[in-house]
Amino acid sequence: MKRNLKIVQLCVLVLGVASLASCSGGDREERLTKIRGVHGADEVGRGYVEVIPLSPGAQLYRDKTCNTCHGDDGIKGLLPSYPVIARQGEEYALQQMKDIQSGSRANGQSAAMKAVVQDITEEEMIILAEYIANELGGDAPIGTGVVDPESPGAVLFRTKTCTACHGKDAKSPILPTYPRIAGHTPEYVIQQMTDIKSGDRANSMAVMGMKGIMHLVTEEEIALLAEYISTVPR
Amino acid sequence: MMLKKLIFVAMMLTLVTSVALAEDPAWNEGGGEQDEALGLTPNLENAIEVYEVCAACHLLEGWGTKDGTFPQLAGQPASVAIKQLADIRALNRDNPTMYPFALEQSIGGAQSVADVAAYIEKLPMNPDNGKGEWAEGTPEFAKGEKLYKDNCVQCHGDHGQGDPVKFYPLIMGQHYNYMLRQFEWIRDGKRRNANPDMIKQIAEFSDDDMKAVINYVSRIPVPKELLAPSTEWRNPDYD
Repeated sequence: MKRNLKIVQLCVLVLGVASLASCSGGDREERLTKIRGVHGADEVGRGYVEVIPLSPGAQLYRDKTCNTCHGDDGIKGLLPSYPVIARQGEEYALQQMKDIQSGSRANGQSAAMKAVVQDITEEEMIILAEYIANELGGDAPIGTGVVDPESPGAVLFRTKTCTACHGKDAKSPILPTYPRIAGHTPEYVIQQMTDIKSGDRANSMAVMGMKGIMHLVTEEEIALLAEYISTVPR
Repeated sequence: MMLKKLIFVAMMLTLVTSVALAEDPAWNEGGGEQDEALGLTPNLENAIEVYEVCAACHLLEGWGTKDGTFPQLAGQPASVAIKQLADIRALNRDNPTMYPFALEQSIGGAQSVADVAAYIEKLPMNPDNGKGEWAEGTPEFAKGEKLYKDNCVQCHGDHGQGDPVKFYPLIMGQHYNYMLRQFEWIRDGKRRNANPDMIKQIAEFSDDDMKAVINYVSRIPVPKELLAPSTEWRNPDYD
């Protein structure tokens, strides 16, 4: 009984707030709220929307302009060749930021990121990595989700020993310094596999571990693998 | 100024240490996990579970791949497998592809190392290993045979059987490309846990010498009792 009463009270409260917002807001405010989304707004405190302050990670993600290229949700990047970073493993994300800053990773589009990460401190990177792994993107879907376990790419994924390191679901790597690859765009995957094979990307022992087996896949097989990986949900 | 001095001192220290290491490569210091695993009684039930991790690359039969990407493990004496696993785990042998699978979190502690090594030793060997291009009767084969007899027999044995007591690996039946890669790394100082005696022994080998001798080794016939009955044989432990 008591519980039901509480629920009713809650409903009344929610309705009240919502109606208050809709009468005093106007279209512009509504749009702004929508644009600013869950991150809250810069100029608030008008009495009808309680601002949720940004978490330190979310604040940094915006302040350091990560969202410009990787998207507000870390899923839809500016170009298809940019990685989907939401729900990436924390240690892997941290390692990549460090390596791109130091220049030890400069393959493909990561060269463009070097200038952007110059003024990010290690402490900030740690906060960002935690945010990327745990908060960014919420539970928005990553990967097209149209997985065909018998597609040529899926078969290659099993037979070329990819699963051994990246996990059968492509998101349970054997070491935390290895990436979750499920749901990356085909463009990004092709670029990375090609660069690791050629040696253009050689940052960290993890990458060198993968280079050791890359002669097992041809250009055509890389494309099939990339297609499959892009369908797997992260 | 102070900082520069410090950096200089640090660099000198690094240099001195690396020179010391180069002069005394830790080929087989033993100790630690290696000794621990060597003294344990293997549990073959647990080995089947542990080996499944290895099988992702070395295959359930332990035969590796004919192209030499992954070596054959089957038939390798347990002491050798223990030493190599312990070395990879302790980062005494660079093997970035295998490293995560060699870790305790993937396969377990010293007991698991002992278990899986004993299991590997008992697996029947691949009847169709990757071979070099020169069959018996060619001058290259003859050259390799001579090189082997003059340089390798003392440690690896007259038919490449190795010496488990001294941790010398069994090399007969191993895939050509794998042996070629390791030989080159040992000669050129890239395999850090190589035996310094071998480094000295093969220092003067040209690339052609190397190919000839490895061609010969890849063609040493493996005794029938060590081989699986056919290439169709499948490891019954994973039915």
